[in-house]
Amino acid sequence: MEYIFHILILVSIYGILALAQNLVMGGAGLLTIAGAAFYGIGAYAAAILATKFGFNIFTTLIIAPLVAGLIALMVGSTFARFRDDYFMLATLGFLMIFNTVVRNWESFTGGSYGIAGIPKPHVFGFVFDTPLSFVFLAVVVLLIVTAITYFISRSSFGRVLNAIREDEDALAIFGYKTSTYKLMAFSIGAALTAWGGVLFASYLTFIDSRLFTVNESILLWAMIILGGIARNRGALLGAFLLITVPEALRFIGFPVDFAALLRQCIYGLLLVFLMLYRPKGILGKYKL
Amino acid sequence: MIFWQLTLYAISVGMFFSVLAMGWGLILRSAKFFNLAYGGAFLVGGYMMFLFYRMWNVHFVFSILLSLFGSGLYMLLSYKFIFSVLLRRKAKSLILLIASFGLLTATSAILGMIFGNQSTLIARHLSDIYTVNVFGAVLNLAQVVAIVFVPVLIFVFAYIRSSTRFGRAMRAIEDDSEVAELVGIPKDKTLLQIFFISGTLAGLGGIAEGFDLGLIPTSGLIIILPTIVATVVGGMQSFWGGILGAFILAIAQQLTIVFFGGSWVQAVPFVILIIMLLLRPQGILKR
Repeated sequence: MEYIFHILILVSIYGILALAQNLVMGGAGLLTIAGAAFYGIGAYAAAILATKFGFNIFTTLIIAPLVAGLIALMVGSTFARFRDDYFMLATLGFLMIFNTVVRNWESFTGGSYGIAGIPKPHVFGFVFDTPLSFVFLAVVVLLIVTAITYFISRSSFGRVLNAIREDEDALAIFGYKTSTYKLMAFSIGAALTAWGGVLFASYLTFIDSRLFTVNESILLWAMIILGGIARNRGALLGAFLLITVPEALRFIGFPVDFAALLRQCIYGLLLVFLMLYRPKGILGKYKL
Repeated sequence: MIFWQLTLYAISVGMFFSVLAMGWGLILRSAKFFNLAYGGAFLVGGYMMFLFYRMWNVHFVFSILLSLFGSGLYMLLSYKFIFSVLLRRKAKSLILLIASFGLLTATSAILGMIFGNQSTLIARHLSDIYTVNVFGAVLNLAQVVAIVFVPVLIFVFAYIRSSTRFGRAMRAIEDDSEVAELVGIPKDKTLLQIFFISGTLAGLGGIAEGFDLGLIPTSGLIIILPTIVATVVGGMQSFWGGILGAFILAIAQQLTIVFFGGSWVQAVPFVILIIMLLLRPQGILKR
């Protein structure tokens, strides 16, 4: 039973991440690989605030998205001028800088030793320390993120983003400041991604610099594209499939390191095959 | 004295990235997409060299030839079975980018499963990594070979590009592949050759890295960013641009090591890229 709860929590966390990044990748059509960086920023913000300054995790659920959103706003103000390949390249560089900073700034982030002893969230004397209670918390946050992304994709803001995805030049002629819209999508996506990070840090109670590398971003790409890019439902489906199906590898009994590499190999090949045979994914309506 | 040492380091690193940028630029200009699988060919070359030379004790020259052939073949097959299909479908460059990123991820994972995640040095015995004293500066053998051998390689390439039949076909495809096809240049065959050559150059880089610093499965991704940055900064439509960019990058890296320490080297390409894209997005050299 505990195992099922564990899977449910992971599915919720990755559902949050995939929905949030889908807002940037599917909604605005900006291919970003910085997902893992904002995931990590959320996790580190929560871990540092909770262990060094004694914040409650619930408070960090409010602060961490602000931190991630502000950082996204700062770096994004440069990135928003770029398109397609160059945008992806800039976000890849940002992710690598994030990894370098986390690894080297030992006094603050713990470097490769990481941060241990991150507390569980507590509110009005109730502590979310059982798996079942954490499932509730994760699912509630997932529902909130789902509601926000659905609201955004149906709002006029969401429609402008979709139009940028289809034809940025045409929209600029109509007088829209496309870089502002791209920047907002990038920042909101980053802020929502940070929630996944907070939950992950608090659930695992330990984080280190190896958890938020480019492999996580590749996993998010695979989830979003498998489910169907630009579909919120697709992101959720992709997160569910890519968390539950590879769990089968656990029962075959590979060593941990080997299983991680095997999963990484599967995600990579999955991307190749999706591009070759079904670039719009399972539920896709938008052809990448 | 330190200045001399750093100059030589910068030159050898510049030579290393020149080779990589040269090979990566070939694909960018002819097939017109960001091929991240180039990092995969880099790894295949390096690890094949490790397998033949270090583990199976094959003769040095044969090992190098086999590894270069292997990395070229990797790139050729990736074109044959993945990229040519997508290019024929006129897929957006982002699709090709995602597919090549997927291929790189899978390749480094597979090599990690075979060879392990630890750093892998190709050198068989100490004499392979012994150091040479060049007027007071100390370089290892891989660096000396890079400084001596790469300029020859660059000029041979420039010659092939400007004066041979293959070079002219290559330039025609870079200019406008459809017109090139109309006037009877065998586009598919030329692209296959371009991908093969690009792969061997990546493999050469991988072998050098394996002798110099050692390989890890993530090296493929780590070198791809500086390679792209060198090409883009120098001017991606120009053959010499990649080489100019490689040396700018190498000098900036050495300066960073002196002033900020070695752990920040990975941040250098990113900073250069951002500055460049803001100031002069077309790169320094035009075609």
